[in-house]
Amino acid sequence: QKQYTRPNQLEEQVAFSFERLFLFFSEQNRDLRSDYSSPWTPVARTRNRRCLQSASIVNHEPHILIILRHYDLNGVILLVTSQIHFVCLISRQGKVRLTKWYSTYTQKERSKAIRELSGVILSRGPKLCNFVDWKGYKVVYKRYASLYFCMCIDDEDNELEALEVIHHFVEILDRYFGSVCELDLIFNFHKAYYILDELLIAGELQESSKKTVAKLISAQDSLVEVAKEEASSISNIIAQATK
Amino acid sequence: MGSQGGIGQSKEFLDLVKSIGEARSKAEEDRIVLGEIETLKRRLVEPGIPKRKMKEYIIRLVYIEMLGHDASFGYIHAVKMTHDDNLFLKRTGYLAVTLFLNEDHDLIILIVNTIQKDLKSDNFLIVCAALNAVCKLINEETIPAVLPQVVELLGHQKEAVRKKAIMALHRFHQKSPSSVSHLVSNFRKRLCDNDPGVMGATLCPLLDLINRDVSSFKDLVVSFVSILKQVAEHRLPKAYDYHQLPAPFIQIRLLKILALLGSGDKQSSEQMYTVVGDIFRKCDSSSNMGNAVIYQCICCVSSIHPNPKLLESAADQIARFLKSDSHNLKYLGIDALGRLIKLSPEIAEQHQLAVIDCLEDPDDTLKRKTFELLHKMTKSSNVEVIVDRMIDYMISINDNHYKTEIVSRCVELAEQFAPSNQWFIQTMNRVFEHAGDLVNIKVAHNLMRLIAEGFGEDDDTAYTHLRSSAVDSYLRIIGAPKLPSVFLQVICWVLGEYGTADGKYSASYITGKLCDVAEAYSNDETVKAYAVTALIKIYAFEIAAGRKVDILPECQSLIEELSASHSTDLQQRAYELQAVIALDAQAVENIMPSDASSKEIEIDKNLPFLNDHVERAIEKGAQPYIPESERSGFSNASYLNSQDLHDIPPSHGLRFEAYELPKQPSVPLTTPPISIGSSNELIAVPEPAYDRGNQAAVSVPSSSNSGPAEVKLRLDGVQKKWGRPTYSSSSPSPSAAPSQDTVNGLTVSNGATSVTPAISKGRETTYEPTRKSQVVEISPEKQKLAASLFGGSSKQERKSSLGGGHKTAAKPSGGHGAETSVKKMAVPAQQPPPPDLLDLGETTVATSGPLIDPFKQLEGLLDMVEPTSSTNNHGDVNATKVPDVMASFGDTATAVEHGGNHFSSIEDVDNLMSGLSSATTDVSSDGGIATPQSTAQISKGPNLKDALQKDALVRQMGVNPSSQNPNLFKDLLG
Repeated sequence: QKQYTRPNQLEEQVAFSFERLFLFFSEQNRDLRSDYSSPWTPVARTRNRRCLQSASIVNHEPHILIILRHYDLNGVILLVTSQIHFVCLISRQGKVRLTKWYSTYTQKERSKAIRELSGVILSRGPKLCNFVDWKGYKVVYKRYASLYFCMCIDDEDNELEALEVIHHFVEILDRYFGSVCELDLIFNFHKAYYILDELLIAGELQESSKKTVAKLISAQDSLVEVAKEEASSISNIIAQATK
Repeated sequence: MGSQGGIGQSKEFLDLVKSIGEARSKAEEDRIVLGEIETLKRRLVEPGIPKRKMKEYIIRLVYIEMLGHDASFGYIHAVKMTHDDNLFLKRTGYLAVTLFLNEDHDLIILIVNTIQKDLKSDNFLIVCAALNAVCKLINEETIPAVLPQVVELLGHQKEAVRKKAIMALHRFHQKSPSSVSHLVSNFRKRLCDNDPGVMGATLCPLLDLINRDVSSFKDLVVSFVSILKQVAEHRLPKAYDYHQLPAPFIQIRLLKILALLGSGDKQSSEQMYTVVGDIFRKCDSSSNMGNAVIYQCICCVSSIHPNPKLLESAADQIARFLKSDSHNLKYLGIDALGRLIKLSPEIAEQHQLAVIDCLEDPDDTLKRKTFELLHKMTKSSNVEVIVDRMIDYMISINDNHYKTEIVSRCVELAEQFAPSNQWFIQTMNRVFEHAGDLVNIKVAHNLMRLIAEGFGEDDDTAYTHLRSSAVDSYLRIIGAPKLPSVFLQVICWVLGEYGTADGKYSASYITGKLCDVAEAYSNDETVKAYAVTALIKIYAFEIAAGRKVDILPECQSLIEELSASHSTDLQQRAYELQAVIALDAQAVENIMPSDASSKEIEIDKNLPFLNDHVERAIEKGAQPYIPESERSGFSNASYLNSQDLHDIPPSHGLRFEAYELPKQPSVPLTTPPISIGSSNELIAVPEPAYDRGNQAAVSVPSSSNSGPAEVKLRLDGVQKKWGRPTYSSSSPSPSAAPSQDTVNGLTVSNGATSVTPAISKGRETTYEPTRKSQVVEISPEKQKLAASLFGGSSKQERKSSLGGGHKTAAKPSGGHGAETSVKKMAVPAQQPPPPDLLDLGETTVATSGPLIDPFKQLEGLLDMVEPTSSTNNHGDVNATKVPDVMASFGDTATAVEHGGNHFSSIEDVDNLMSGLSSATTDVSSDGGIATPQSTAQISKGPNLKDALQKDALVRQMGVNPSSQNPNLFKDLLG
């Protein structure tokens, strides 16, 4: 029996065998069955592709059997990702105030996600829990005045922690803007982005100290202020020169 | 640093934001944005734009993109801006490109060079900005270009840079593990970084690495445990505290890591027990964050090698979650219960009522989580109730994604635990009826097969009974409008095979129904094909039985219609039907034997009946057939291709090798018409596809050759479960039903004394008083449900739960003095509607009246509340045993029973409470209660002023709040 591995072909086979793989595992593990039967969202596909990259592939004629290292022999899922897939801020009227995507989505998927989520979240009552299912993921949201902060995380992750990450973010915004309100975020959304970038990076919480974040942001701002002054003085000079 | 209300931006931009804000509809918003896109397209190509202006354009592009429109025409300008030397512009450029570009965008290559340069910059802020971009933009191919610099930055003097470098490496590892596999030691080193922020960030990649390969990090268990210990002991700088908790985010991450490391490893787990137990004990359970940490602890405990003591405290915490008023905590409680249930199945029984409450909660998320839990605890004894509930819920929702999920769960549970075939068929019918389009076609095949073969039942009467009941039910359903296609296929097949089998229905009745189906669903060719084949079968059976066949006029017209159909398949079937009708009984008996659907069709792939023919051909001088693999000139390539076909059968329609055989004199194989193809083709056609074709043609899933991965009913396991009632692990299920009866009987006889007060009392501690009466009313119903869900467990479990009942009675009697005082304090504390701690950001500031913290109280109460509730949870069990309990613990039993007594104690306690309230506020102020709610209140005054100032400022800018959005100016935290 000859073994063959042509790289471009491999991916094709992998895509095909993945269906079988899930069936195979679902024989042993119930939880996976649901994963299989639902059509894959683009997000799930990227995630699966990521799984596959580290999968060891065993070629079994005629059926290709892939053994993912993330599954132990009993078919128990060992892979626990703890990534934030996206963050978005939606106003009570369904208007987008800020979005940040950590996983890969096309513009179309983004609009669809926002549309669907705002439909679900805005209509939820006040006493219900702050989590909603969305395509096999969890979206954790919290309302502050008229603004909803939403965060999409993996299903297995700690929802309450995500809720506190949101609150953490809001507290930092509050400290930065001085009792933040929605208008601050509407007009200074780029600043909110800078702050978010100091808090989360690549979908993970990188800094849990408010002070450190505040320090970094103010360091950047002070440099920016200097730069701004320079720039304006230069433009003044130019303006005067051209008069 | 106050809000600048848009200072530094041009009027034009502010107008844009303002008009978007005032847009009444999405269409209006789109129109504005499209106008803006036009403007920007024009402006961006103008020569000599000042840099500041350019920066604003870029921010406007970001805004457009954020609103969901395509701003790709300006991407290149954002890229250019990253090249600028000015940090101010560079930062904007980086922000824009990280928001615009995905890692596989073509423009990335233009940025890599800049990033490389910026990573070497003296200014650490530039390095930080570049690292931010690295995390988002660098893809697998460009990793090598920046990797050396990022590694170098791990030793940078600024902790912010080190931290981001770690995160960048983490990202590289996620994208291409092999690229950084040699750098793992760096992660280990950074774990000992002086800066806690860097250490905390390092945990992210380590969590990922450990996830992928646990064994090579076992040596770090000690370090992680000691770090966690230090963190929990407040050794980190105060800046890392979050609502008085010591670095909770780091704690959670460490707990996640420990859960992985301790999974299935007793030795490592033992090292963790102390610290996890400490966190359980110390963690402040009044704040959200504290609960998040506790939840993570539970996850950890359920993952590592079990420790009875930790499991016990985990169970206590779960009880607290479930009894909480907050839906968030209930949700976590249900989730945690699902985790713990694998280790100690009996724990669910203590919480039956709580679980049922969650199941009936209006909150969808909570409901779904509860279904997940039920799914995990399904046994053969409670499968009927659970699947019933699931289907009811499935019918009520619209979300197709979740519907599919729950349907597949129902099917799976039904296949695995079905108590009888009858039930299975009925359940499947319901599933198909309401969500047939979402079910995998294989499920339908399994159902047909079950009806045909009737697993495990050897005796024929049960067999025929099963079939005729299926026929009955289908004839009932068939008239319903708009049935899903898959379901109709099953119906047609079953009616065709067994419609007339028991003689209850006449052939003309069944054929009439089938014709109706074919007519009603005239768009669905598959259904029509199934219907016609069913007709063929009915007529064939009639002819074989020697009865006279008269064709209904509608059937005749159907045949006529289909003989002229565009679909050759339908035509073929119609002609076959006509041909069969014309045949005599003998011939029909041969081609369509009665009840042959479950007979296996054996196929000899060597096609021996052709041997004569082949020999004759060879005698006449034909070349003998050479198998494809042995042909000369076909080396690896053809071998591979044939393999391809094996792997991807349906999609590969093109066959290339056929053209490469010009010189082979083709053997003129005049095969008989029934053969499936030339023998040459038989080899090339992959086996699975062949199987499938077979199934479609005969409409019976053949059990012979199906691939190993194919989903099918697990015959072996099921057979044992269904066939023999004495199967050891399946507990005697009938115990559930009688116990229900006795419960009901006793609730009536003992009336208000035993069961009901117990419940109402339990409720009081967890719910607002107003709900009390309501709860009492529905409780028997719920108890019934509880009994059917949880009661069907084995005798042993019942005993253990009884033991719990004893304990509850014993406890109050033992610690009469000390513990009752605790109780007195705590019970009234629950009486006022508890402050809405978890929604502190909402506009509920007004309700924040009492500063008493329910969780705090509950914590002290835990020992008390938990057992009492378990008493009512096991109402059924206790009720049957009441005389015993009363006899042995007469003293306490009366205390529990007499409602009057209980209420008077509440009055006492009210007095007591008012005295105590000052004390409690003291406690709570340094306990967890100094959470933002109180702080928000304190800061309320100045905030309002701020907001007013902002208002004024914005009005100056010409931006008015739209009237529909009065909350706009409220502070987010207020």
